[in-house]
Amino acid sequence: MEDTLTRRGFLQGLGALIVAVQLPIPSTEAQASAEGTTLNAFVAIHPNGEVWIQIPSSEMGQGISTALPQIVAEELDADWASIRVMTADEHVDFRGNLIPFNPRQMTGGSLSIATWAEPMRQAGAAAREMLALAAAQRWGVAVETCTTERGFVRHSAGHEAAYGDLASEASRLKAPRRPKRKDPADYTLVGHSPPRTDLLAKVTGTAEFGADVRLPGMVYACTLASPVLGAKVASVEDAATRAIPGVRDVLAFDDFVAVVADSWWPAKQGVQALEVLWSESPHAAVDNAFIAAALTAGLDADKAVVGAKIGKADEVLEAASDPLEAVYEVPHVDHATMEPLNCTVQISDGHCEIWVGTQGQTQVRKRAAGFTGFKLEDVTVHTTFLGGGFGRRGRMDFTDQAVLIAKRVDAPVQMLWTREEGIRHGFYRPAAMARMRASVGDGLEALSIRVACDNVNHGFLPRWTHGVKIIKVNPAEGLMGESPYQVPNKRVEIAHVPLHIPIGYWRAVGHSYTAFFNECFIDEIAHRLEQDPVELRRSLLGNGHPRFRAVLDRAVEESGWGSAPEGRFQGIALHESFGSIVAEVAEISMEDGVPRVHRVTAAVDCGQVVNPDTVRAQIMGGVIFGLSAAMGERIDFDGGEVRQANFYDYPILRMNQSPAEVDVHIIETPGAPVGGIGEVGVPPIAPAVCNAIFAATGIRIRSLPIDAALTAEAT
Amino acid sequence: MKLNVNGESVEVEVSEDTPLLWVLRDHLQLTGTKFGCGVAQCGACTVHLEGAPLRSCVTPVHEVVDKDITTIEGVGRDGLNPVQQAWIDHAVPQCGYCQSGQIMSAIALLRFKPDPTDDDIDAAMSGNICRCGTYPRIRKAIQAAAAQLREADGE
Amino acid sequence: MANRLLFLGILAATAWAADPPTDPTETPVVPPELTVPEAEGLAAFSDIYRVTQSPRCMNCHPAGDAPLQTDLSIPHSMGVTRNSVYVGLMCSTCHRSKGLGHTLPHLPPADPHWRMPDAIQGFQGRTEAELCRQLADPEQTGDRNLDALTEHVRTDHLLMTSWHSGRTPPPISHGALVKRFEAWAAAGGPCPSE
Repeated sequence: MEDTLTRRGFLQGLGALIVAVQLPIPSTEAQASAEGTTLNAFVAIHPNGEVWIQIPSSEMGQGISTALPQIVAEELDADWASIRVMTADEHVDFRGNLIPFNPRQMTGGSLSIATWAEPMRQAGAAAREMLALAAAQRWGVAVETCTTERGFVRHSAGHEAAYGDLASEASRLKAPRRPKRKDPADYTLVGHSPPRTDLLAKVTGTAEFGADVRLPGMVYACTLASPVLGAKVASVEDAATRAIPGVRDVLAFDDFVAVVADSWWPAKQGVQALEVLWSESPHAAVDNAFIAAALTAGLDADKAVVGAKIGKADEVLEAASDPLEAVYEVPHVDHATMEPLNCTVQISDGHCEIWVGTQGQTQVRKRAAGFTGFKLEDVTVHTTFLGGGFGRRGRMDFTDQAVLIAKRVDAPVQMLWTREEGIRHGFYRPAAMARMRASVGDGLEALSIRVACDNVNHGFLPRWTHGVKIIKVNPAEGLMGESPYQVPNKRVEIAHVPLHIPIGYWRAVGHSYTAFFNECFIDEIAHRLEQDPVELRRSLLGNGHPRFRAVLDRAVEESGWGSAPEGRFQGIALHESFGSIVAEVAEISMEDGVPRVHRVTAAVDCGQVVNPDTVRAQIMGGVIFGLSAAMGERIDFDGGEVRQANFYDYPILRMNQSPAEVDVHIIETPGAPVGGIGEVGVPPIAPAVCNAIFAATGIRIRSLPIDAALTAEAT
Repeated sequence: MKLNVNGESVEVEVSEDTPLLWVLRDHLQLTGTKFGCGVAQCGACTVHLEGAPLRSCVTPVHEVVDKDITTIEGVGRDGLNPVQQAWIDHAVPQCGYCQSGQIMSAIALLRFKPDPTDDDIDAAMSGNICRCGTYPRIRKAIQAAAAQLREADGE
Repeated sequence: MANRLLFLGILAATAWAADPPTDPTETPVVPPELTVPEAEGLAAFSDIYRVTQSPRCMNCHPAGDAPLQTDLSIPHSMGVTRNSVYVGLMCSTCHRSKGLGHTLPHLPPADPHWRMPDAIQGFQGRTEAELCRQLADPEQTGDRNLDALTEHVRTDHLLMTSWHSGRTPPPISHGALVKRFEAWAAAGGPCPSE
């Protein structure tokens, strides 16, 4: 069996290597200070007892600003109530190897815990030992006779000292290379759900998102780029704009115009009053028909990249008397983060300071250095809370704009996009098509899949990785070696179809559509075989995939599979992504031809769990995020322009359309690598719902969004 | 012009057509109320006008001169509002950007309907979009806050 | 010239006929020979019916509890119904007093008294005859007789936003609609047969 190396496996292996040669956590100028004494790059302790933990990752709702500090606090034996968290300013200490040999401070790929759990453990354990040693030295006792608990060091003779009191002395000690770690059996935080560290701020409106940054003398900018992809600014008529009270300046750049004003409203009014002439664009011909034709041509092309090959799928299918064949498709979709894109930049005195909700701090910093001509050390990147990331905030387009604007403005400037600008200038999840073919005799004999899609990795990863095979097969991730179903003959091909539409990593990336393709088609095969969809999956898993089997069985059991009440119908899907296995059962009813999802039952095996509540929250969130896209989201192109503008024509799922209950059941596999959580709830929901719709109506949904497919079916 | 925000009288100098949202965020530095769409589609900008919810992104400020406006910063004057506490108890927020608006809508719902059904919650809250998908927890938190408020009222 | 004399004659006659009745609670009975002819009244109502079936009017006079939106007259998004007010979601939560200075398309149209009529005052799904009987019946128009109904059409602020909300206006102008109501009322509110 030609086993294609998955990106995940590669990174896991690499991660193990790095841990083995792990250097002691570098100490960033460990020194006594009134603000809080730094014990190492990640931990600082204030005299008042507050334990400040700097994490490399951006908090965008996934709860990483709780989970990583939990690991530190566990090893540190800190009192959870004393923990304060911030995302670190961009710094070499916080760059991880999420992309091989390209250390970056970044948050994505559902990799934060896998990447940083070890360093967090190390940092917490090292700091604990330094505190204990400082106390022991103060008391003149052996450190082995001291214990730590909830922010205190104690000695049996009755000595007691708080961490805040000891921090200054501790910081002068040498950090231990191999600090003693806690036995997981003694964990009180990791594996439990202490309260999230960001809740109070987020319910009181005091959490600072990028758009909330306020600086003395700050001005505001609103921007406009060409509605037609790829066009440049030819000329700008700005007399009406400049006449608006509050507008300070109109700045034209290569491919966008910015209006700068005393506050944001006049800046936005200013943009509306602009008359911009755009150049011709080579992409003005892009429309839905062009996209469909190009993807179809990819499906029909003679050659494609082979992603997986077992046995002789093509020959078996050739010989089959009645092969099952279907074409599946998905549209481009937008991230639509709740917080419109924004970035605040101040350039003064040879220094560039940036405040932004970003998923890619290192890239922001390096690019700003490039644009300003400053050295890296003269550029600072502060990370705020992100009002949603989902991959969109890992792009540099909007931060580039803000830096370019700031170069021409003699004040700190906050650039804030309109919602329309965000929807029209997204880096979309690419549209994709798949031809699914199966030979179904007594069982599944052969499966052949060809996926036609543009490749999201181009333009994001370093150029040299484009030659690496894993990049070429990425559009079919989830369908190849990762798919657990045992089929004697299987072929997966990828036709790369460059469309010149800006695309990027949308939550779950390729899995966001490969699960739809695969798990709906498996359902079609079950139907052809007149077999229960769960039974078919069980037989295809065989005995070689116990973790998959356990997840499937748990979802089946908890959802009451097969015994839905009258008028309710169920559909199931099973998919692994980012190192975690998830099964989802959707229970729906049809109301006037519209599917209504009442309940979703999910089972997840993510290896080990740091915070069960965040796992449940993220799976629930992924389900509803994925359901929103599946039900009604699509980006249409016409004359090279995106047709959608705001939430009235790019509908996001609302409370009255969402399942009232999403029950998540966690299966832990001790010793297994830590799987991701942020994205893994997304892939199974579209196929689970579509399979339920088939059970309810006999209608097979093969294209998303569902509302368009059902409308087409009805007409 | 004079505004009454969270019980305080403030003077602002803005063009009268400026949406209240931007007066709050940019002129009064009250950034708890959020911008999500600008067209009353997402609810992130929700404040209270004399106790009733209002989408501040489509409300010219001249409409609310001398009227009582409450923002997220003003709902928990003596500690946390029970709705805010329920949000914490049920770990509702994820990215948190929509939650100011969600909380404002929920407080208004419970003022009008202290014992809301699921349909009532749908009706009151479907103007508030959450991209992170926290709706099931919002629902539970509203029911918990409702129960807590009813108990406090001695029902 | 003859037509103008005839018109003036009718006007004078109508003025004469409008003397208050002896019993103030009784609706004045207008002698048939002094109103607009029935055929003209029916023609006027035909235009009125066309207007009521156009989106700007029908959307707020739906058959069900949800107001309608867009020229496709689909149910209002976000689950809004006439009962939303009971859970704190007012029409005025989103529909404010005045549009913004530079309006974006697709903003909620504005009026200080954005509201829905009573449930029985729906236009959607009514035939011309059904709607005519409905509008001619004060019990189904909030106690408005034909003259009061005409006044409603002439002066109601919210109704008049139909012509300047940035959306497709009704098929005839506001002034023309008022004239149709006047003619229909002056004809005694005749209705077509089924």
